[in-house]
Amino acid sequence: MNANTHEHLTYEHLKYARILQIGVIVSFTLLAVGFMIYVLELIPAHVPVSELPRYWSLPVDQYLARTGTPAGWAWLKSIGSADSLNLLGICLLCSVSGLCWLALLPFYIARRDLPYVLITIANIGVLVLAASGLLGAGH
Amino acid sequence: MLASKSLVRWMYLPAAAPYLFLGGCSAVQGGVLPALAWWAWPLLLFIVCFILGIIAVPAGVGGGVLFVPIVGGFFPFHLDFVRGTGLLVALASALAASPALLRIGLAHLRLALPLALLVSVSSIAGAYLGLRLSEAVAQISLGLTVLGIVVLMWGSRKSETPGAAAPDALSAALRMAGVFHDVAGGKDVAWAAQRTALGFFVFLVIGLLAGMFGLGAGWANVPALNLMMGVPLKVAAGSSSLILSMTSSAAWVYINEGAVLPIIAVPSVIGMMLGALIGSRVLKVANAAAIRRLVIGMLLFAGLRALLKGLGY
Repeated sequence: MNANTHEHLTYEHLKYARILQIGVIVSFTLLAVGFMIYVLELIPAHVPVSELPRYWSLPVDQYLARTGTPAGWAWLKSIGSADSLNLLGICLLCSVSGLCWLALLPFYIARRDLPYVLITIANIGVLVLAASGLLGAGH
Repeated sequence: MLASKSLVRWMYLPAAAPYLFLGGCSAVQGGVLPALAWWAWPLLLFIVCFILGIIAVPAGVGGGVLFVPIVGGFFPFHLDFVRGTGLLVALASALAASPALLRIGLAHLRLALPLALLVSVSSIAGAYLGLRLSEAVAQISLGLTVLGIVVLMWGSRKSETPGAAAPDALSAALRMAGVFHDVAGGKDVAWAAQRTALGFFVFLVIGLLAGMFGLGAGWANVPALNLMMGVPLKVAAGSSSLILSMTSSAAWVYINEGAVLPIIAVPSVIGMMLGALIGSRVLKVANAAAIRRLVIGMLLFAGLRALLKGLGY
């Protein structure tokens, strides 16, 4: 049962829910499989799991310096390593809402719902900006 | 060969759990690196997050607000990594719950989208600010924030259906209104967001704190939506979850800064998710008021510990 009496809201909500659910299932599956590969050491990791206790109590800048781990998107270059594989699942989890907004946008445009077209575009823009790392780093 | 040895190690995990809990806490409290095998920590994290997930749902709080002070206070991980994981834990719980909430009409997209935008923007600022704080300052600020949340949870009232006052100009323009079907009362309840401009400002502050400390924002979203903006409690709770699911921007900051370690993040997320599944069943039979008092007690303890840790005690 849907509590909204407006048909267009029902469609909007159901479409969003369907895409969200698919994205969540794929993300969690990737996370679980990636983590098993990581902890069972089925493929090598940039920082071996057995060495992590020496570093995980350090501030992030010192952790990066001592382990030689790159910040930003540089982990994509070593996507074959187990720790990078896990980051892929985490990044997908953080992107699911963006995919939902992209699906929602044509709906708002078709209805000429200008405020929500702008709000949806702004949400996508903020997410892309945050994900890009362009806002500046430095610890 | 290496894989088979790892597999054997993991088979011992369930039996080792009680020892690890006691040994782990004492080692961390002693301020030295614990003499536990590396695999003990993700296991312990999974167990703790599983329990937190069971408690969080009936208590009506997100996972992040429990995760950060408790794991930050009692595990050996630096607060930078704990905060990054806290945001992911809150995000994952909300992502898992939101499809069902949307389908039953308890999460409202037109309400959530503008608020999520504000929370996203300010949480990015909060994340950058948080990563620049020294650990002592971060622990003191976290302790004070968590103690503030305790006061908020202790003192906040709830209004099931605040009443159908007329929408203000902003909420009318954005059509932040709907009809909520109250199953218990067997009637449709019309609602419209009120004090929208003030609500927008409050959500900016909530986002800043959430990003700074990795707390998520469920602890503040529901009172702000329900008591300030006049949204019925169930719609407020559902839409709060939807807003949380939309605000991954701060988590991206932590990822880009290298402050998300899979060895901490993945068992936490999976443990919290599985615990929340149990918690949603517990919700039907549990004494929610008693669980809420338990959570307030846990937060009080964890907040004081963070404060004292920051002050060097």
